[in-house]
Amino acid sequence: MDKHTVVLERVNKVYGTVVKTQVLFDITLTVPEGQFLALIGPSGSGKTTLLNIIGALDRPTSGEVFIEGKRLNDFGEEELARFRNRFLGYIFQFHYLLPEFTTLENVLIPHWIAGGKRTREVEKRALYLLERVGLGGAAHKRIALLSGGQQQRVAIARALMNAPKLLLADEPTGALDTKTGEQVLELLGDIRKEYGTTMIMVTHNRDVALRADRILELVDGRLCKEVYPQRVGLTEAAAILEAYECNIEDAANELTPKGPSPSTGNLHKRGSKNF
Amino acid sequence: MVLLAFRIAFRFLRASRTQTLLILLGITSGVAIQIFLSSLITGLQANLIERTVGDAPHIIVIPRVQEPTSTVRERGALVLSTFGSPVQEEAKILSWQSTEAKLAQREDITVASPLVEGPGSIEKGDLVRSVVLRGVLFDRADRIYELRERTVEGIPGIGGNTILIGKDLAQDLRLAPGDIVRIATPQGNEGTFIVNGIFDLENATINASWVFLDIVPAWALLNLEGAISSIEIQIADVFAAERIAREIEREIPQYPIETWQKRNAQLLSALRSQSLSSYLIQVFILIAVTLGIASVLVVSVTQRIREIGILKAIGMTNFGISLVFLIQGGILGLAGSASGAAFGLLLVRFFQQVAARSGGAIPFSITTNFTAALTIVAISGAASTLAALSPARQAVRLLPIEVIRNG
Repeated sequence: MDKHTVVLERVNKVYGTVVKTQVLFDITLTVPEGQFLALIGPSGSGKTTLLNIIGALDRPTSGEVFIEGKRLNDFGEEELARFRNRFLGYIFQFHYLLPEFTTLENVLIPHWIAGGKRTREVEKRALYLLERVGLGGAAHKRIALLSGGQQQRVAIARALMNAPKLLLADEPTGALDTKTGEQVLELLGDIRKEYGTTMIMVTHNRDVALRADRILELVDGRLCKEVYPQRVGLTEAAAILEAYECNIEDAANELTPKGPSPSTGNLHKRGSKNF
Repeated sequence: MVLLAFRIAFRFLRASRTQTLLILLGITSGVAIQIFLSSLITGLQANLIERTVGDAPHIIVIPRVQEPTSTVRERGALVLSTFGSPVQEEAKILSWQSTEAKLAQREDITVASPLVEGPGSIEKGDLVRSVVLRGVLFDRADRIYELRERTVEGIPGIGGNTILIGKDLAQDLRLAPGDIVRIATPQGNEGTFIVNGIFDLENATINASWVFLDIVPAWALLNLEGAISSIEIQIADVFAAERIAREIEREIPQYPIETWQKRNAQLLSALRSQSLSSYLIQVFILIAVTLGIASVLVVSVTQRIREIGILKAIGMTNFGISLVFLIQGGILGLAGSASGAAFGLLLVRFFQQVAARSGGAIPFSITTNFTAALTIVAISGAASTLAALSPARQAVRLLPIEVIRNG
């Protein structure tokens, strides 16, 4: 059996204490090691919240989260921070690089956070990653002097610095023009294959999603569709995504009677055990 | 993590150069003023105390007031008081040589000078003035009152029938060195003396009333015969007076002891309130500096919400993030107070030169108080780090997802 990088068990997320808004309903999900999973869905469907929970940036209101076999529910704030640094790499819509540091230093920051020294080997790795993202010549430039696409590529190099087991990308091309976005996606795909890294990407762009091994669509906080584009073919995959009906049964069941609370006995089984 | 926090703190400060420089300037001037003020007050007070007690006894051993025990006068004549009250004897120290010997053993006492004191009148021609006769051993008294230095006319010295009189008395009676005067006492004794010199003790009352003469003629004039009125003592450290007085009291319990502090209570309370107001000013400067640093750092947190968010997202712990801001506060505080200290000491030096060149217009000099300067630097440094607590907490409370979600 494949090793699972991500295992979610009946994850619910409710925001607010007085006015409660439930954004995730009983999400049960596993992501095997090395898979490229695209999370899609209309805005407000909860895909970013789901990504943040997987990325140990947010905690579920109920349910369990296992990443790399570690039960995140057991971790305190500082432990979570160390876990993120050690096992996860993030690429956000905006690069959020530190303008006070050079390109190379920005790539080195995750290593520094881990308490590492700036040795020659470490610097070599950072330089290699920068070269890999096509920015070998910009290592000592200030961040402000780089273009948007270049900055996003620095952010990718930074995400890879600590050799993460899981890459999380939230609309990584959202702030880029089509051509630059294309380059960034290609780069991400190549790197992922090269290192065998598991990657989960949130996107609202179906074309982007179709590059993934697996697509999951969220609707109103529930898993609605699941597609393996390479297996079914891109045309068929696109057709499934176009269709109105969900192809995950229990999510569909719950879609019709709108809004039963997860605690009032639901029939949810593990939604997607199809590996 | 600590190293990284230092690195980030430095870069943040360097990136917002203008803010950093302005707040450094603020801390510098605050600390400089604090150091200058504390040096000024210390110098001023030291000067004031020196002027008050430098040429005066620090501790005085006085005789106990005698309870009237008999109606018989010393001389043996039986006198019944007109008003029915018993005869009150003059308070005096009888066995003063042994007392003095005990005092001489103490190393912290610079000089102990026996004094025979009493009222008298001085006559020149038809002019009569009442004076305070002070019979002393000249060499001892000189070490307290610096009579040699302070004799402005004539010869500084007494012995036999020569005396020293004050400047104002001399003016009043038109006396010059070499003049002959008659001194009489209420005891009915009198003698003829030669004015040897005229002193100026920088105190009008003393200059108008004190007459220094040798202890032997003073005994005769005041009917004290071998006893003395008090022992005046100077010590090396004026502020040890109370402690030394208590110790002396234990050694010679038969005599009360008075200190300069007791005699100058008003001056001391004035000095205390001066110190208090100086401390108050310093505290407010410190508060202003601290608030300045805090506000700069709060702004810095707000400006850098995204960077803080991403640092936390990629694994910087809350401890590390708080450290970034505490270090910024510490750097600002230390650098600012160090340059403030340098500037403050420069101000002190400048003042010293102005005072030296003023030709007495500024009648005191101030000394650089390094201990105080170090204390101020340490306190400011600590306060600046504390000032960073609130911005640090703000940074800790920041959730990375909020920053990431809102772009």
